[in-house]
Amino acid sequence: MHTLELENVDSGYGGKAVLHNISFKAGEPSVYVVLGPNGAGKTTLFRTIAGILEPMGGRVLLDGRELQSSGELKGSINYLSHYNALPEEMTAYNALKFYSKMEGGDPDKVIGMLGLENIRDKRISDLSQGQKKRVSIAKVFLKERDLYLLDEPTASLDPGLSKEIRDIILRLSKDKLVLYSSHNLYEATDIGMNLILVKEGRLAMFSKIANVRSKSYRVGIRASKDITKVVAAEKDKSGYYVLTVSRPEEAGRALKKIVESGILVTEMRELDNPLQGLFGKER
Amino acid sequence: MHGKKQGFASRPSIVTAGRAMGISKTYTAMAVFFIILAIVAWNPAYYTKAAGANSTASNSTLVGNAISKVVASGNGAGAPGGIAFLAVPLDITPGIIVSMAVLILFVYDKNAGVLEYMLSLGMSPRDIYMRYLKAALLLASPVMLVFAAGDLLYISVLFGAGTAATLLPVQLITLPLSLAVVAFTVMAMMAFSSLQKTRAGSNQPVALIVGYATTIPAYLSAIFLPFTKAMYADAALVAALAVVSLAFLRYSGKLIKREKLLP
Repeated sequence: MHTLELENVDSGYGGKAVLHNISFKAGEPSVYVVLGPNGAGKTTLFRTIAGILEPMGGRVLLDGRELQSSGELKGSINYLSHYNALPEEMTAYNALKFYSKMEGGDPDKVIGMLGLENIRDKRISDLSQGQKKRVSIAKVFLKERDLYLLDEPTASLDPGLSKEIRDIILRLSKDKLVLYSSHNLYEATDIGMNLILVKEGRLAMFSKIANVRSKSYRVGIRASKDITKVVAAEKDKSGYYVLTVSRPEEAGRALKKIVESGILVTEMRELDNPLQGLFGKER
Repeated sequence: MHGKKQGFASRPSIVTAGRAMGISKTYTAMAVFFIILAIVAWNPAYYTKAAGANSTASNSTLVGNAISKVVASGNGAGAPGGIAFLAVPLDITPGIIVSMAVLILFVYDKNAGVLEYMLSLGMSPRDIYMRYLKAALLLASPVMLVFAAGDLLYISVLFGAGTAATLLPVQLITLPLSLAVVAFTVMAMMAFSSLQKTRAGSNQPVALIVGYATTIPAYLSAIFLPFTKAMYADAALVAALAVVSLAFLRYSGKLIKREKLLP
């Protein structure tokens, strides 16, 4: 069991702070989803925790020990950045071997883990963006560590592979701390247990995702007949009957009423995400 | 880093040197071209020039004798004996050219996020600079050794073994000077690259200018000093460049912020 703690951390570039007074303590092994609009400071937060940037103020502690002063602790973090960080002139296997010589680990193991056998001997420069991302993710799993910082790991991946990556991360999170940034709110609710919301470089929320509630929920329904006479819904341009409720359970009651009136419901989906409201005007 | 003992071929600097050669083979080819050019063209010309007007004879043995005499006396026929050292600042060219590949690799790794990843693994900026500096020196050393051996062999064939022995100090000073200039150039350019605000990163032309600018004192000493004093002056230049490079490496962590290694 590991604990990551940030105490009043200020950090940034060129003497200019991007993060201001960030404090939180993450001790429960799980996925902590880091959300925030573009430019909010998510990457800076990851870089600061990873020890790439030195905080301008405050401390980053892992298991009570300050990260910046301990070279040993810096090696306890796996960081996946926006950039693939792969030597493009190498084959996928050699690139993983290149990193395994720096940090340890077995390239063959991660090749099997991420299904990279078919691109093993291809040059990185010849791979698609999605394939590069897979190799880049593989390097993060070369060595098992205490803390994983994953900056948009599923960006540019197809849905199937995104799901596989999320499954791997979920398995990891049973006994590891995983900080995971994403712009995909559905993915965030799917994978995350906890939420770290960053806005304008400040910590706007640190909470369990289950505790985040919207003021209202919009549910889209496709049906064989007009349902507006049965429930208080409005038809939108895309053909959905839109039902607005204050609690998710109310949608269930409305569905029951529609079905009982003899109308066939062909589709029912949540149109908004409970996390969407957290972004405010930016989204 | 993990404490596993690594084989010679898998040492970080060897790997980095191999990668540098792999991504820009043109520089290796250019270095070979300049080695041949220096051995067969400009060095014999400088050595002959060092012999002054007395060496206009077509017989190579006579030219060799004249070179040896002028060098031994330190002066002759109106030209200071140090003129043979004019070859030195030009002879470092293959070493500088081959090390440019490492600079390309450094900029490329920075832009690709490889340096950022290295930082996240707990490496310091100094560790990273050291890795690329060693790689540059590893590439330049064999090139310059081959060059020195080839040059002396060619001179001994052309002017006799005695002349080659007399000119040995020229090659003995070329090797350390080339490594010192490479070290200085690489450190300076990694710093320039790190400080560049835009991600263009094409610093090789600036690196060449910086590298050659440091050799200006070597030209002056060759022109104005006798053989022995020119050799000492070049040795002093080697020491000065080595000290500056090492000092830069020592204080690189304070001089350049970690964020400058990020893409």
